Amino acid sequence: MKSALSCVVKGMSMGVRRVVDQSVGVPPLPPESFAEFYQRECPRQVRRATLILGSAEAAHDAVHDAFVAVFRRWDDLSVAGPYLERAVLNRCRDVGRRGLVARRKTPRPAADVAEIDTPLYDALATLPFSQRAAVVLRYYHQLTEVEIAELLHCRPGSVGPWIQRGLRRLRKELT
Amino acid sequence: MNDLADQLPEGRLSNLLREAAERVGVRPDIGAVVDETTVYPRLIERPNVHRVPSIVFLATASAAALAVGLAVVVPTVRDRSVDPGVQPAEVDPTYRNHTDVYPLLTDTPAWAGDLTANVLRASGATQRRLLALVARRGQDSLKAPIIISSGEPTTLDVADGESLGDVAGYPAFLFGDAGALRTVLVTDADGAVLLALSGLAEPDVLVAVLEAVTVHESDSAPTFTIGELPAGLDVVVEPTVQPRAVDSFGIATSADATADGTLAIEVVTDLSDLRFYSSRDGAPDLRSIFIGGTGEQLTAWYTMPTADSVVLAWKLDPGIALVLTATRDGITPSEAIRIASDVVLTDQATWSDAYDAAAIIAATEASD
Repeated sequence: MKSALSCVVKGMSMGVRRVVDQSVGVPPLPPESFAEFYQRECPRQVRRATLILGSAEAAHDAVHDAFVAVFRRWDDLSVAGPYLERAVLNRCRDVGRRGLVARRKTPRPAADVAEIDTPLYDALATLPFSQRAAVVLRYYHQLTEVEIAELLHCRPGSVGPWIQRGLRRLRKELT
Repeated sequence: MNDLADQLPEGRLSNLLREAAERVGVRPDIGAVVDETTVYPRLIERPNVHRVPSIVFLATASAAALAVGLAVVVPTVRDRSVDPGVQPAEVDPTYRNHTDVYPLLTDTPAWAGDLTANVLRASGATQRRLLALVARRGQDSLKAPIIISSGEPTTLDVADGESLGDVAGYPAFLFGDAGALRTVLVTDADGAVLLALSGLAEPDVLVAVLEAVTVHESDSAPTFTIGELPAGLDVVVEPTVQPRAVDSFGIATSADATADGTLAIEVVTDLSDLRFYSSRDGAPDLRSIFIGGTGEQLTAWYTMPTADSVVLAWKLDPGIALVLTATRDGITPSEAIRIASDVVLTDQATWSDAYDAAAIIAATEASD
């Protein structure tokens, strides 16, 4: 259940829908189209999801499904960025849940991720989803604990332990 | 700095992640998104399976009644009346919503590293919310408490949940993994969330509890009552209207710190019972402990979600609850209580000086 208190989010890509306001004198910004939003958000979402899932193919699928959900609600979303962020992470969580066993049994497809990064992805794969996501959001996206808590639907106090445990495990796996 | 930090500095990890991400080949395909949405829509909206039988039943019953000239009485599995006749407990009128208190730790343990300031926004939790708590009563603890709530904001999307079909006449969706916090969301026919149940419980237990709950839909906000629970489960806190949330402040170990553990202390003012705070992130068991003071301050509630973490909720002043989350190898409830005894409430200026919180305060004021 989501905490009754949600956290301040700053510095995050908000995907604000710019609405034409006829009441002001300055020329309004044109509303952002879905195409513009997609073009801007797709690469970063795919890259982040790949780090979390350890598979570019799975990441493309998760991001695609999230964009489908956003597109369906585009007219109702005044701010689409946070919705997309959470949708991608939720789908990554689901993909991870379904795919962990399969991944252990099946070799990584050739060229799914760059070969030189395989040790990093293998190390990340040893972390539970919450730790993996928190580490990627902190050290790849440079988000604060409060921002991470908002995205992962938890209290800020939970994020620190996840990151710390995740770092310990990564250090063990990578050194 | 500990030894581990030398083996993989955080800056190095950032570089590794960034370099790996830059090597990911991205294949944008907006056409597939639009096509899939407009031509081949996925089943985002769940089928309203409980409505069909009701309509069929109503039509059948009406036809039968017309045939025999009798009034139609349609039985319902669940009471969906606007006024259930049972009013939940309201907020204690003496409860104070504090917006001007800040936690200060007078003696920070070295293992917790540097503490930084943060703010918890009340956004979304300002409407009428109803919470209840059910659990098995152990000899000296509450086992795997389950929070039942209506009106509580959630970021969970039913499209991401596992459909449980209809439970007691409502579409229900399951979230969470085995051994972790699980949540069941119950929606109305339009997909709006009516009810949420969450706890460290198996899905069948959550469903059994849900079947004992009667939802009362209304024009304003849904409420609920709890009937006969499965054997062994008791209502610990009756459905109670919760105080309106306000922004509040906390301190926590910085994620950048290479400390031996983490510590977070948050002022919380939006829930009526300490046991909600101690169990909302999942509690295997919940224990009370004497911590001194007078009146409401006498009892704190704690849980150890894992072997190396403690969550402790207590009241420092009537109406002001605090939650401490400590994670460290070998941490004990006693150690958490000792840290809690070093927490004092202070004013904004002192807090800002202690935790360099000027930027946090400015951001909060700017967003108000």
